[in-house]
Amino acid sequence: MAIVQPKSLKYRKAAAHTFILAFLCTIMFPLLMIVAISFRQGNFSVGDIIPSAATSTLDHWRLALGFNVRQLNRVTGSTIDYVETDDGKYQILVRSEDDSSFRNYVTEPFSISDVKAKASADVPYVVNCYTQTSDAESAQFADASTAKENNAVLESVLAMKLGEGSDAVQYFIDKNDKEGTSYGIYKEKIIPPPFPVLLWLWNSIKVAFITAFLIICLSTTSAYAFARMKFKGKTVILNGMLIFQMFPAVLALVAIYALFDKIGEYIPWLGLNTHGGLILSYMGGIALHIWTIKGYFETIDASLEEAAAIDGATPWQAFRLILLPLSVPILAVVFILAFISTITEVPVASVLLLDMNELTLAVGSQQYLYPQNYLWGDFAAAAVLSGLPITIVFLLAQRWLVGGLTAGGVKG
Amino acid sequence: MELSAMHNLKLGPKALLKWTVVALIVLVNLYADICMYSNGDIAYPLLDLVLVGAGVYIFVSKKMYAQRYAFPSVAGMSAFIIFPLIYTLWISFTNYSGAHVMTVESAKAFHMQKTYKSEGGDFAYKIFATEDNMCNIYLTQGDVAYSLESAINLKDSKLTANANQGKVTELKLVAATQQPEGKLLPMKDLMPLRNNLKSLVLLVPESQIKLSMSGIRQFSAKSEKFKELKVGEKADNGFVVDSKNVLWDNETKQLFMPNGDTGFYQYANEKGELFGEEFSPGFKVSVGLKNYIKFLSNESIRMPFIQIFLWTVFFSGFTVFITLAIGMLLACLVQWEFLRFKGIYRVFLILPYAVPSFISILVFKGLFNQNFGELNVFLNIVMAPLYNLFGAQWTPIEWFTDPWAARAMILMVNAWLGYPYMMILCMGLLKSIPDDLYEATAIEGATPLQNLTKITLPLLIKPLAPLLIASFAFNFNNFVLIQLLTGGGPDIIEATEAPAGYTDLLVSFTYRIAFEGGKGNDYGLAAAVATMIFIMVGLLSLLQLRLTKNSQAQR
Repeated sequence: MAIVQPKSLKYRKAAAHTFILAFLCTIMFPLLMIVAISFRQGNFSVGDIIPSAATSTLDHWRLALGFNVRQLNRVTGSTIDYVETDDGKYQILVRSEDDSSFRNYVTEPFSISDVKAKASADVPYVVNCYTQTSDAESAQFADASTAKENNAVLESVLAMKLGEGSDAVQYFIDKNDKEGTSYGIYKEKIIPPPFPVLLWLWNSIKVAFITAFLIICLSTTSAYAFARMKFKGKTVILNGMLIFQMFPAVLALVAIYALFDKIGEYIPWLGLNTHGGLILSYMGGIALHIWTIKGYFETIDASLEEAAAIDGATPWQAFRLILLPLSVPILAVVFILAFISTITEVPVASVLLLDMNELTLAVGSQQYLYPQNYLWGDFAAAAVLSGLPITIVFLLAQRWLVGGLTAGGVKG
Repeated sequence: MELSAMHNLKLGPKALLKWTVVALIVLVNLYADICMYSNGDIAYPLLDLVLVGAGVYIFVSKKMYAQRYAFPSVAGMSAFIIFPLIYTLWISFTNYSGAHVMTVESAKAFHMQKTYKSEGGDFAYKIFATEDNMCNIYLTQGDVAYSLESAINLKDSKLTANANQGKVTELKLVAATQQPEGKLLPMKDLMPLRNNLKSLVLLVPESQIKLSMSGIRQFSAKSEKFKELKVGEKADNGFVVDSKNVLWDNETKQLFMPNGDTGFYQYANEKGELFGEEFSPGFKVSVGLKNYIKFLSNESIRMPFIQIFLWTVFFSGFTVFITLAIGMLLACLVQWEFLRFKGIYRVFLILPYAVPSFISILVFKGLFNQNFGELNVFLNIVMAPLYNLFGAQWTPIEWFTDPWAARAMILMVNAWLGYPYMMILCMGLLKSIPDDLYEATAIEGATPLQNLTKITLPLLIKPLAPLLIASFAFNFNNFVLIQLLTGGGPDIIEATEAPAGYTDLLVSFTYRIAFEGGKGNDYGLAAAVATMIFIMVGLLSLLQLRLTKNSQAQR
């Protein structure tokens, strides 16, 4: 600790805090934005920077989690009139002045008490609609107060069904304003999730987990040989591996594609469009991990194994029973590094995987932002949902990762 | 190997099992290799042979005990990194591209499927069906008439299956004196049967001319357009065949030969000289250094290549510099002993690194969107009143169409992504600088700036050097950033031969030449660029290795 402390220390500390805080604000801006956007309505709207309770919606999150989203869109200029039939039932005459495709539909007669008894918020009471043929002017309309009373009862529990089969569209009565003085017709729209995000996340985790496990198996055994054994060409192989590791796979994609096309002809589950093939292709990228583990092995005193060897242990036993238990920390680091680098790998996965349901998250998530199908809001929710677990794993592990990173790894 | 085999055989059931397994592996692989080789592949069986051969040798030989541990990873590396590299190198000397996908044998097979209308002429046909769906075909040409020897069911499922697989069914005809029995099928009933009818080949009695459906109303005599000539065979026009895959056109009586320079089939005269139109499909041929020469001679490729190369070097260099500057500054700050909340700051500062890069890059892609991106909205709120104050009009920045804006965006995003890595590195290395150095300077009354330039920087830069080279090489090949953010765009208009953009790095340029349609998938040209990048990356990694050794020797 420095003994001499200049007088300006207080100001310097304040300046440092201000600088770091200002820097953090700029850095965090995109991350906070994406969380805000995921609660926003629609995919295009440029809304508030911070979403308010009134304008925010969970729709994007529902879609990201694989649920359908139900939207009610107002039919502009719509009016609702009740016609009382002789046996105490009602028919609804719905009209819209603005929407020419929506003119003079009338429901089948139904009784209000039936709706009250049978319908709930989840299961609406369905009545069919048909085109009004007789003259609407001659019908006897219920007065305004009855209409308002009926509207309040039927609001969002009465589904007026137009059309048949898969073309059928349901219309609902809903408030036009918060006070409930005017009501309108709303068209129901069911939006299915655009992409199977959770499936992609599962694919990614599956591939990354198996890859990381296999990489550990391969690189520990190799690192053991390179750290403890003497054989011809050891340094050449070690340095060669390090150099070849730096060649990006993007440049050899044509060759990799052709290779796995060929493998697939003989072993289908390791060919194109399979996770087996993708995992196999990642088995090439282990040089850095070998170096990391080798470096750790070299810090462990070899005399332990020598003692075991004197007691009659084979090299394999010395490796498995003595060296491996001692090197669990570095194995965890390599596992996490391999896991993360596999999850974020794009080029090879984008060439080897073809089907929508086989894609990994890193390849699939690009599909959200194609100019012709720009799903900004949906992407935001999917990004937060899928990015959060990976981020948390990394932050929890970062204390141990730092050592592994300084050993020469660059995360992609 | 045999000696040790004899030696081991005495060891009982365990050894026996081992040798059975080894023999099985060898046999299965040899069989597969021979299969592949007979299909015309050389590279794959060779790879398999080398890997399996080395594997078996290492796991069987007692001397190779140490190598057993290293073998799986070396094998993985050879198969999925080194082999693709060599394969790419080989592709760079061929014309492999979207128009030249197949081997010359496949191109030959394609041409040999062709048929032409030969002598025998056209036959009009009618189909008569009886109650039990049995049909007979009645063919007429002038006053000659034929019908099927025996009626068949045209809706038969086996016939349909064969037709869908492209197999033909041969049927015999007999001379007919009158129309077959049954009801005449109207034209509209023939349409659904068309596919099945097309798969029929009808044999005219005596002359054995083959008839097949040539239009909706007729069957015609067809024969194969090409026949293959063997090496040494003399063609009808006197040309003695001296190479493989030479075809003879039965219709025009001409030679049809593969052109080894362009990768297409062409007609040839009796001296074997090629002329005229080139016939698709093209096949792969070796073109020597042509792909490399293209870069030197063709201005519309050379110009974008040099431009992209310069941008790539600038991009990687600037990124390393700016991330190092930010990272080192922050590392010094968060390691400063007098500062509180260091732990919290550290976690938040590392956050950009913890978020998966493909997600954060796509987030930036959306935020920078020039029409409805949040960044332009934000800038508009801030800048528009400011500009109005001076009577000017603020126009939104076109991040994706203006070359310099796009490049600035790429640099900003990459600085965001990259500084935490440098910060982590510097934090680790700063710990290793002894505190008493700073104490000494504090006594002498040095300023923080002097501390930084005289102590911290010189002590950091040496161990950092190899890591900076690695970072440079990583950014040199930072494909994911470019691909996800701009896709290389905006496009360079002058680049007409290959797709090239202002933000393209060499890797993404290569990727676009190979995989982006429009201007054709030119794998050969892409492989040539890739080879040049390999050389640069190789030099970089050698440099890094040298620096690593130096810094380790120093420590």
